[in-house]
Amino acid sequence: MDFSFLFLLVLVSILAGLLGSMLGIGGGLIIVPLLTLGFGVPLNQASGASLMAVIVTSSAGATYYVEQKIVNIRLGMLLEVSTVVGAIFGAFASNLLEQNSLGQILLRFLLAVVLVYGAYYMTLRVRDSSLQSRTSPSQRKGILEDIPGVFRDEVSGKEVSYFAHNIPRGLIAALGAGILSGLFGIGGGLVKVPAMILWMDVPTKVATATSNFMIGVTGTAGAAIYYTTGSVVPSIVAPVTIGVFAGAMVGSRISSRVNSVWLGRIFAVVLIFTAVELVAKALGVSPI
Amino acid sequence: MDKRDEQAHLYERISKVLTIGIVTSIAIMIFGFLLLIRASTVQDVHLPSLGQLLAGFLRLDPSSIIWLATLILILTPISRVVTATLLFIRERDTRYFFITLTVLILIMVSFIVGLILSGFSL
Repeated sequence: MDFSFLFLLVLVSILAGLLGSMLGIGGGLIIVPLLTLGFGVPLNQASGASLMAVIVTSSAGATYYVEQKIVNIRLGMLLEVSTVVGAIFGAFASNLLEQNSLGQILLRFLLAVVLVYGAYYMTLRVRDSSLQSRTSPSQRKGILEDIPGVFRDEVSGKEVSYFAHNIPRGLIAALGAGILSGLFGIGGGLVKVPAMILWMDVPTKVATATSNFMIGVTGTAGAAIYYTTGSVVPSIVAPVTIGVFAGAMVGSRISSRVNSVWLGRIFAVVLIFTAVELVAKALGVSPI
Repeated sequence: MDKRDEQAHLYERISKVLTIGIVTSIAIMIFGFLLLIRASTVQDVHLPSLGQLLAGFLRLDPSSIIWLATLILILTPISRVVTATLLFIRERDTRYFFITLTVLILIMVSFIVGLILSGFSL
């Protein structure tokens, strides 16, 4: 096997994992366009590899969060019903779209939109709702009733109780996150986290941890379809998964010591350029 | 056990399952990757059967070993849902038992849809 190619793949994946975890957008959104534009890997194979990397990173992160009892498992499982449906649909659509040139352009255009949103998301500071959380449940009853939760805030050392409100809206956001996860092999945290914080009044920490906990399960549903469409290629999956995982492990440890605001701004520009390149290349290559 | 202990137990169990799955899968994947670097030519197998996979594993075929690692990897989150389902049973939370069960069924549906897409026949 071409050693330098594999070595370069690992290196680039480490970088993607590192940046993704420091910037809070996950490694997937970085590695997918990078593999496609930089290495000429077909988009569906890049997404397949990214999906595996995302499952590892999320599961490794989840052990920590679960141990810290921050994850709201009930909330996660309920939203998972819709992310899994979205992931199946997304993976299915990605496979279909990739088979014709118009679909390929559409897919790349969509990825470009997600990249631009990712750039916006990184620079945007989502307000911490943990202080403003409404602590009372609404009147809704039945399956869509508010989900209570408690977690221990590390900073204040106090127990914070909260209710996850607006379950229907949360389910819709989760569906969107699932579709994106299935389409591009990304985690979809950048849709779920703000939805949980802004719409459902879930404390930021709980939202991040719960989203991370869900990503592995969503990823699995998407992966099942990627598997059987030949989009999981061992010689790409292994270097990408190992690299992103290693990078994310380091990134999560050093992120508190890095000025993520400036890093986010610089990288936002890179993401926007990548988006432009992606669209340009899709339009230029395809015979329309 | 009071409700809080039960909850703590639930978190502990899920956490343990996750760690074991991830460590095993990453270890096997690194092993496969090292073999991949050493190998002169590699055939990327698309969707091998279980028999092919085991045969490949025994002759230390890097591709099959990496396939196996990814299989363990995607089974890990499923075990997370199974654990949650079992613990909701123990907590007698019928509603959340059915919700997690739905998630499990949906994941199974995704595997079936995938198999149909790939033209798999029994």
